Amino acid sequence: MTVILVSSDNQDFKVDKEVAERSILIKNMLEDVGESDSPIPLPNVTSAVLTKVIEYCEHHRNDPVQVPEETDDPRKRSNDIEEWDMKFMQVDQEMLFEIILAANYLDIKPLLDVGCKTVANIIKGKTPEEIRKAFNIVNDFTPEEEAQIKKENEWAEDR
Amino acid sequence: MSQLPPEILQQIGFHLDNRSRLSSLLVNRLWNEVFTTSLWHTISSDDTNPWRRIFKPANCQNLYTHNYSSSHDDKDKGKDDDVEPEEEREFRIRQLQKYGHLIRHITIYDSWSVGLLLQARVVTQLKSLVIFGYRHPAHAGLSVDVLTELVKDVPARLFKRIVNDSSSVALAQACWQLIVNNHGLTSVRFMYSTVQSISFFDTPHSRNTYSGEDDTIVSDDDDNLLSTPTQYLINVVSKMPRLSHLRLAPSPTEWLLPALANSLLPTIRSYVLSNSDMASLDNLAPPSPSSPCTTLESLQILLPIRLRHLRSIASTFPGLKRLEMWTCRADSKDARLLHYNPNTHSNSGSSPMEVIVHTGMERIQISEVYDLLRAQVLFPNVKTLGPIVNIVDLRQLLLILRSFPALEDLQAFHFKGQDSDRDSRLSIEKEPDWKLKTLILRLNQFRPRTMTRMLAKMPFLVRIELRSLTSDSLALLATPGRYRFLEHVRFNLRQPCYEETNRLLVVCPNLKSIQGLGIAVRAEDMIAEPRWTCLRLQKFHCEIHGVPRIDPDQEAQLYDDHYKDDDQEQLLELHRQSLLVQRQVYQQLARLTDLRYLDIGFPQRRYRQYPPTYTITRITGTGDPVRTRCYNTPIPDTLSFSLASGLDELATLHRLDTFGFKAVNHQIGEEELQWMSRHWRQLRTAYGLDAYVDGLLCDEKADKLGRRLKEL
Repeated sequence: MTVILVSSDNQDFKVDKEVAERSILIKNMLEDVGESDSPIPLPNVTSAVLTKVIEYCEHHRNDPVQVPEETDDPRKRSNDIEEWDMKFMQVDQEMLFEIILAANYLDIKPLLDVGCKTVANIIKGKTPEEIRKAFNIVNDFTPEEEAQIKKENEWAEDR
Repeated sequence: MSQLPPEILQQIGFHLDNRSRLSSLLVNRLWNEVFTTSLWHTISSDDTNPWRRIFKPANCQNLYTHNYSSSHDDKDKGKDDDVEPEEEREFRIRQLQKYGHLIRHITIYDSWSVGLLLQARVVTQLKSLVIFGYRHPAHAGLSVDVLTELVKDVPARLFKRIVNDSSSVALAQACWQLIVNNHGLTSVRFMYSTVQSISFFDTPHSRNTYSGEDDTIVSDDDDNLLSTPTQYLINVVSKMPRLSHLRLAPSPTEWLLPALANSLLPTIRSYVLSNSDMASLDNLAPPSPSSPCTTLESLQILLPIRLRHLRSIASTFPGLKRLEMWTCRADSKDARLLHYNPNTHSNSGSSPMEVIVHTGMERIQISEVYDLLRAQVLFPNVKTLGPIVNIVDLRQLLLILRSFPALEDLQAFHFKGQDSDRDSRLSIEKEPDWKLKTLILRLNQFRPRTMTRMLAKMPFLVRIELRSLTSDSLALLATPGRYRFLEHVRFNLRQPCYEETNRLLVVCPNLKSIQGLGIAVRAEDMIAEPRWTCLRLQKFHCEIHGVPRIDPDQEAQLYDDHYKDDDQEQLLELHRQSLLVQRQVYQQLARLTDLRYLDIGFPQRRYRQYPPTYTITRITGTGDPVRTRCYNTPIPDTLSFSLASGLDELATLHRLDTFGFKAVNHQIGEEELQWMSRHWRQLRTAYGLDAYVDGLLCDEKADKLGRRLKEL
């Protein structure tokens, strides 16, 4: 059985139900609607991003479904990224953020995790200035504020 | 350029280390807010940076030091005050007061942390709390009234009592106060720590009440040592709607289980019973049938129990899904049960015990499963036993499979018994098909025929790992269409079973891994089968035999003019034949593009007809040739892995991370190694290479041979 997904720029994507249901949002929608051929509009996702997301879901179609855990205990998290996922995430930053936002919207937890890990890996080992540069972020602290925060967190620096 | 919203930044924060979080919170205002939250989200007061600097004074950085002064004397106030500069402690408390509300998960190793956390007052949003060392409410001497109000202030003298004496009443009270302050806790665990003072187990000489308002210690002469802490705990838990996991460390009296049984702690779903006293289990009586405790799902018992205890647990907690025990054996009080004979399901004793049926149980963790069969409790829905189960013989295996008809996973490692004639008389044929998906038996010896008869009842197997099998079992598994779920196979066969292995490889559509002794195929069988093996195969550890090869001496003749032309011609023909067969075998292997693990190597001592040792020359890093004795026997009738023989066909195996050719009479030279490193980018491990590559590779012999083949 296939379902039709419609991107924000009105492109149709025909995918297997099994693949589409990696998205909990779509899965719930399909359950609510029941048997229906009507296309599912995804107004927050462009066709370029949706193509990538579907590629991910196709590749992971046979993965066991993650049991949603109540805990947000980060000690249980792993920072490993599978080889295929790593390659999949080798996109420009704009696309990377778009994929993360789409994964969040479509509720595809493993994809969201992989995206967040990828960003985390970019942040790791960088100074604040390097992070700003990497993500094109404007520093909106006043010099006094910045000095105050630095001082306050001095205790946590490696000595 | 799109920016990420705070909730996603927060997710990212969970994947960062503290250093990166510190950098991130200096990026801008939004990031400051988000990453300050993630920095404080999960903390531990152990020696890992940076938290110890918040929890302990600079002059007391040793993890398990509780006393920063040699004097415990409360009256000697002036002396203690000198130890830590006031402003330093002020700073640490200020930090906790500012950020304490962000802490969700905390692991506490020392009394300093308890004191500070309590003093900071704002630590009220905890979700999980782990405290090393045990502070039993009985020791805290707590009154039945729970302090629901936040402690306004911890007076200096009381603070000292908390941090200075790890066995103090004040410290125990402080721990429980911390719990009470955090209504949203879902998990509270007191972990037993050998470093912590054993004095927690001592009955305190006097039990005192801590009012929280000042440091007045009021003596409380309540005689009822047992019920007071129980009531206290029930009061605490009843104010904590989300608490579902509770673990209390060993204590002199166990008082919680009856409370659980009577549904007095309805939020607790998971409990760890760690008592050295079995009395509470003996007294555990099922509550009235109208209101059994159905909320408890997981019970972990860290002590040996008796058969009757299992019976009372089963009838008291019908909602249990997981049960873990050390052992469950009979003692003299179980005498009535002992008359029961699990072999015949009949009771020869005078007073038959009622059989208890527990339908909720899904998983039982115990190694001596056979013991508990005598308790006359049936678990028709248990899917997993173990992790590892001790089984003496196949008769016991059969009894376990009969007693747990829904069993899906079974692992047994410690086979102690001897093979017996009884096994061959076991009646198996009338059994229904078992649901087993995983069967891992690391047994030393059993009747292969009986095992084959049992395997015939296991069509749903996904993973199978068995020692000492015969070709019969393998032939059975290779029955077309019968074992279609098989994914992982590991056998030790008594002798190589070429045809059966090859058939198994062809008929199982889902095979992902195959390995073991005696798992072997012939080159001709591989080539003859166009749909050879499942393309999903990821791990292939299998001997490949039957490859025609000319030996190195003959190969030397190819280039030697002293030999007659027709001799050479004959050898050359043989050699061409060898290259042709090898290339065809590589082509079959090349189709397995999911392959991560390819090993055609041979175990030591297996093929005794070949010389047990041989010597090769290798060049060490310094350039000196060293003669090394190898204990692997070179097997001549298998792949040579030279580029000339068609190794380049295997360029499709780009996922390969492990490659083995131990004891293979290989011709891997420098070029082959370079080729492998170019095409198998994921390769991490090579078995067989170590014998001659140590720093710089160079088996002279293999190298020369490689060069000559190229010339050919």
